[in-house]
Amino acid sequence: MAILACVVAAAVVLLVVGNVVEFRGSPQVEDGTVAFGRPVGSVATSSWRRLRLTRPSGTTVLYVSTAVLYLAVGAYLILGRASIVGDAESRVAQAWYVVGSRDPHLAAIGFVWNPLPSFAAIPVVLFRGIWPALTQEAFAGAIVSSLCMAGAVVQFRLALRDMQTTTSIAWVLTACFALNPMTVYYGSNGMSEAMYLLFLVGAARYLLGWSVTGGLRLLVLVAINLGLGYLTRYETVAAALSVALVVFFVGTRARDRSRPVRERRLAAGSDVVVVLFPVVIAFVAWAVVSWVITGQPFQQFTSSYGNASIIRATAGAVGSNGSGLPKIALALLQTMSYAPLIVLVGIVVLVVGIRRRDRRFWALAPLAGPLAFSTLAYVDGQTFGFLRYYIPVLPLYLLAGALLLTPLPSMRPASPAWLARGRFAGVLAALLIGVPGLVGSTLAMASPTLGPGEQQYLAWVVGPATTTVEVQARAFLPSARSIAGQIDKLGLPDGSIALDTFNCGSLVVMNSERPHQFIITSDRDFQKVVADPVAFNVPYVLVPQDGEGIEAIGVAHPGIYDGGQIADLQTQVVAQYKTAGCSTYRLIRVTSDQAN
Amino acid sequence: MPVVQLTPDDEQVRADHALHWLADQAPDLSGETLFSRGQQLVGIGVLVLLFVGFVLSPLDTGIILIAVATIVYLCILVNRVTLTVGSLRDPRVITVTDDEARDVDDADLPVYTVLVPMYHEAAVVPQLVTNLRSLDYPADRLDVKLLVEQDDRETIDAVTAYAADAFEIVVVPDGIPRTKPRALNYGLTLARGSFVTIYDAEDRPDPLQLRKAAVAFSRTPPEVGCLQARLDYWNSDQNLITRWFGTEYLQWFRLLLPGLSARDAPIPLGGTSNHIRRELLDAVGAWDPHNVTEDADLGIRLHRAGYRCAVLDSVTWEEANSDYVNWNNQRSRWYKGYLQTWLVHMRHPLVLLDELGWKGWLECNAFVGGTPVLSLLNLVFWGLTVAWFVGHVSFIEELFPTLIYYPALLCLVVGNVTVIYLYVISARISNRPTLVWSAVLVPIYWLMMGIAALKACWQLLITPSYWEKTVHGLAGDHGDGGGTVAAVPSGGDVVGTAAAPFETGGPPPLAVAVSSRSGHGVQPFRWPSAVGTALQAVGVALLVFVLYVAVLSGATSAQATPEGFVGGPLPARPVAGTTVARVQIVGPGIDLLVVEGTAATELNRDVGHVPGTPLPGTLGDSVLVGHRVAYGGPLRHLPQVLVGDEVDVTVGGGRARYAVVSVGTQGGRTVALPTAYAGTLTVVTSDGGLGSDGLLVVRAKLVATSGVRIAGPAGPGAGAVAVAGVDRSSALAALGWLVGGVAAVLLARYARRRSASLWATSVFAVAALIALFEWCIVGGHALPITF
Repeated sequence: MAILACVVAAAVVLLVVGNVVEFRGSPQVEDGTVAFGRPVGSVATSSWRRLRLTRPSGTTVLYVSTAVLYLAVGAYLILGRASIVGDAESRVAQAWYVVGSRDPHLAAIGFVWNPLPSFAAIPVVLFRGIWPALTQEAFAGAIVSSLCMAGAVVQFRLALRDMQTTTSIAWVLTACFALNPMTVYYGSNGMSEAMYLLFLVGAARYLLGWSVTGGLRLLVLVAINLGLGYLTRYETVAAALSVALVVFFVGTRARDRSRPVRERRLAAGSDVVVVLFPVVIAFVAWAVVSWVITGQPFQQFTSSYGNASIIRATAGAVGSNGSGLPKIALALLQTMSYAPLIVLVGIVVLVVGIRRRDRRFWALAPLAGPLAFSTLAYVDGQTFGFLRYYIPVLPLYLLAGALLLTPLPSMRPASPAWLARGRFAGVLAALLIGVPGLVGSTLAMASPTLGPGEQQYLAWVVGPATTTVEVQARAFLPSARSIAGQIDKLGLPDGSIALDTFNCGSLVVMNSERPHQFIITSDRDFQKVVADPVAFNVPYVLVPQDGEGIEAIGVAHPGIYDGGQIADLQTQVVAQYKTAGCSTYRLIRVTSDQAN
Repeated sequence: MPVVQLTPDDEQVRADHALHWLADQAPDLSGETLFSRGQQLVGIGVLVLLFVGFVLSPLDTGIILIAVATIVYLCILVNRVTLTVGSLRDPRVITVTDDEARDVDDADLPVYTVLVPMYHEAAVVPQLVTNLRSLDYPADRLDVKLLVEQDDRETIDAVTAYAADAFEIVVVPDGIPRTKPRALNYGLTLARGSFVTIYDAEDRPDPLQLRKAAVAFSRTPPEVGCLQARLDYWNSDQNLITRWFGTEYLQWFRLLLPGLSARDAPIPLGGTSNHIRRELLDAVGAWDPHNVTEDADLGIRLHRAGYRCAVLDSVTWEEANSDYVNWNNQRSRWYKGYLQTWLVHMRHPLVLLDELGWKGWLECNAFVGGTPVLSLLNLVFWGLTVAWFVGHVSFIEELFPTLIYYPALLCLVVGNVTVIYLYVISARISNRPTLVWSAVLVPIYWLMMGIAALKACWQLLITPSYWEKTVHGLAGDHGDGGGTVAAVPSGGDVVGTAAAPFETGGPPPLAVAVSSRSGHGVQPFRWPSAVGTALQAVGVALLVFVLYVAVLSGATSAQATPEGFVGGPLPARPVAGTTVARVQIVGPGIDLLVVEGTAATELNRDVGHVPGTPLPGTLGDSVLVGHRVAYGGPLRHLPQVLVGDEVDVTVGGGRARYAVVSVGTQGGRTVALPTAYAGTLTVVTSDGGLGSDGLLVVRAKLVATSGVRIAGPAGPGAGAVAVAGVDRSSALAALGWLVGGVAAVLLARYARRRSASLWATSVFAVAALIALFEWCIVGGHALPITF
């Protein structure tokens, strides 16, 4: 009642004040005399401008249309066919933990992966009350990734515009990038590749500009892109190192030759400081925060949820592609899926680049560095052999092609006539460069050897689910929903079930109507509760059958899945949830030995 | 060097003029009194409020202070970053090439006055003369005045001993406060030129600077009244302090000042190398002798009078302070002066707003007032952070509730890193690699700045006009030119020159006009009228919303009183609408009646009993449902129920006692019924109010009954119960009303004013804002809450 009265009072006050302000603010006629000391012509006018609708620019159209395309594909796959990629769902889950879990706090964002994609999802996740699918089906991730991938496409197009590539060639190459099935898929599924590409392509674009003009502003933009890229994916370190090398060497050579080498090197060195500063700070800050909060600075490498650990735990089964090919051959094939003619074009680039002394080719370093890193890491057994790790090949290759087709006026040999504006030969060359990639990517995505990560989520969208992995992926969402629904029916109060959000756990929690009944990994009291549930009055735990040696409750109390007596815990299996998409879960009641 | 000779009376008149003219004629613009009446009242009021606040609730007052500080810090930070970044893209400086400067005929050049105030600068006199001699300007049009204080014998001897006929020495009589601007005012009375500039004793200006300024003035429109040349340090590589200082100057003169100029904001001028039109100086009241950063003050006064300053691309080399104590004195003087300037010009904030415009006013606050405040807040926040890490003091955590915590964290991490990076970028502009490396360590410099800010605040209150002289000549090697006083008198006595007696003129016209606007009604301040309309639209929308809630959802309905309810024997399934029970919970003070049925008519009267579940007082799971917000909110105190509370139910002619076993919230519309006890009472209401989607569920177990007579068997228990209609309000309907209300107001305006496009966007913006307000605040679950 009092609140309503206050609101009424506020409304009345606003009306009165608004009236007074509006009256006094309405523009009155200036009598034309010069206000004392004020120069003629400057009259105090309202600073509001009229809204004008102008024709949107080509870039805006490109952005909106690609974003809509990716979003539509995402809606079809996720909302229509329930094809949800586990990693993408985890990203959204991490965003949800920060705002909606039983213990919402910023550190719930998680330290195994770099945080930016999840941070970006937080504002979207705030609206889950209006549209539950944002978290229940992890659609928030798709929204973020489509906006980012559209941004990557726009950066690509703008890079070509900066280069002053012929418009028709530029649109052909941009289309080959935007419409590549891998681009479309990773723009629509919520994985971090989209944001990663956005920053890598952005860095390449500004570095391209810098290699020609040497402007400080462009260098700063490269630096910011690298910094944000690191916060998205740690492979950006490789990009940063390669950019630093390029900046140093190009910077030394490009400067006024009359100055001594040492001086030039010092100046190039200060350029390197400018370009590396954000990335180094991001690296250090993230490691420090991770160390302060979790005790480990580099969780992506050391944590049990990280890639290296998963590879060890599954004896390399996950992502090994199951083929007999040597790893380096596989890496090459996966690279060629994006660019079948890469070897041929690569040779041409080498020859032409040297002949022309074209410094701009070095500006592709931000895209090339992470590729080298991914390949080495894969061959060394540190990461999986996923096709998506090679996605930077696509913009790298297309940008190299664009550089080939866009010689600078100052270069020798001068631009050949067949490249001149309006001649179809240029467009043909662009098509030859770009189109094979579309075919190659499609074939790779359909191949279990080259594209296992895509196969398992897409094969059953177009045809029946055949392999175990595909069946599991298809049943992922329905299974989690079913488990959540059955647990909800028990009507348990808040904080009564301990659950590690490993694998299915996160989707179960997000689909539950009462998520606060779960105590999850990101809750600050999780470790204590798992160690001794009875002491903390937590009556139940929910454990999967296959914890892969990683799931926290199974690790803390081995054998708890089977019930019975474990150390001083009396456990009893209350319910079992067997589903096609998730490992079989059991709800276990835990009590202590003493009678309650 | 000739000394200007004046009669003692004339000297006195000029000295009085120098010290008192601005204060007498335009007291509102003079720093003679530091705090105006209004500011004193505001200051005392704030102190009283703070005191009361701390007494009543120290934590809340602390939170409010931190919130205000965080917002201020964030604004100042964002302002700095956008200024610098904007300048990177588009540096607005006026460039005159050396050739263009030399091309001008001597005859076309104006007479230029160069004022050089000196105090205890005997050691640098030879250097100074060399520098001034190197100025490329025709001697007959150059009017150099060396201003020395009367009691500074050492310097007077040094300059008189030096042979340099072209320059004049002006001896400034004693006066309190002894400041540089007082000397400048005095020197100005003797100035002959139509342009005036100032150089410090150790400055090494670009020889072509005067020519470039003259050319630039001829090119720019008349409202450009002042040109600020770039200052830079020739000894920036001396030590870490000079490197930081040099980088700071680079940022200031290459990025920040041009950025301010591009935004049409007032520019706080640098200490030297400001080239000003003579008539303007007189018109705005020249320098304020009581202000220790008279240059900043002049810049703002010029802007207020309608004149603009631009940055000239010409360098004056200065000596950076390399000694910490000296640096600290200088910096605290600068901060003190900035605060003085800010206080003087903010005496009448609305008049200032009128004169500077929104952008200029905001920039004036964010830049002039903001620079010392930013340094101070830095200290405060860093201190809190360190205390938190070291001691994990819990009250620090409480000072930062979520809404403040996230922006403050942003300031700390992103903000500090960004500003360090800005220093790196500014250093890179200079092409001096050593500056770039030292820029990474710049937070230590900020610590120094914070300490200087503390000293500045202290001095501001104790001795506002005290001028701490900066010692120069610490750099040792002064670059080219000789280092010893090898002056040989050129023989003969120095001849004095006389000047005409001075008459203190009338009031400075622009200064008075600016000052007199402080009266009311001279020129009313104008807000953009759209703001007024927007406010009205919001007001109408709020009224409509209240109307909807109050009338359509009936939140003001009264209920029947529960006293005296006894009730008689009941059938197992009573008729809908019958009052069946009275429920009392002592702790939270709940005392209400229960009716059978959960249709809207029943719920809008009292709490409803879900038909199909057993009645309270019997075995089985009995469920009660009620509103928490709408229709008087009978269950509004339910959240205060604690586990263990006793629930007294009067039903069926007897009484039953329950004990609360759980209180919790859940989502969804289905309440599961517990199976653990023989008899339970479940009370359900909404969690959070109108439009929320959660339920608050309180369960109690049956402890004892006596005399309850309920006929008939209790039906089979249901596993779960669907709950609907509790505190339901349609957000969409409310939104519809809001949009309708807003549209009605705007249509009325449109009919009067016919400016549709602005209103079209306003409709959607206001409606969206209000919907968001309703959702976030009333709905309750959109914002994360964590303590």
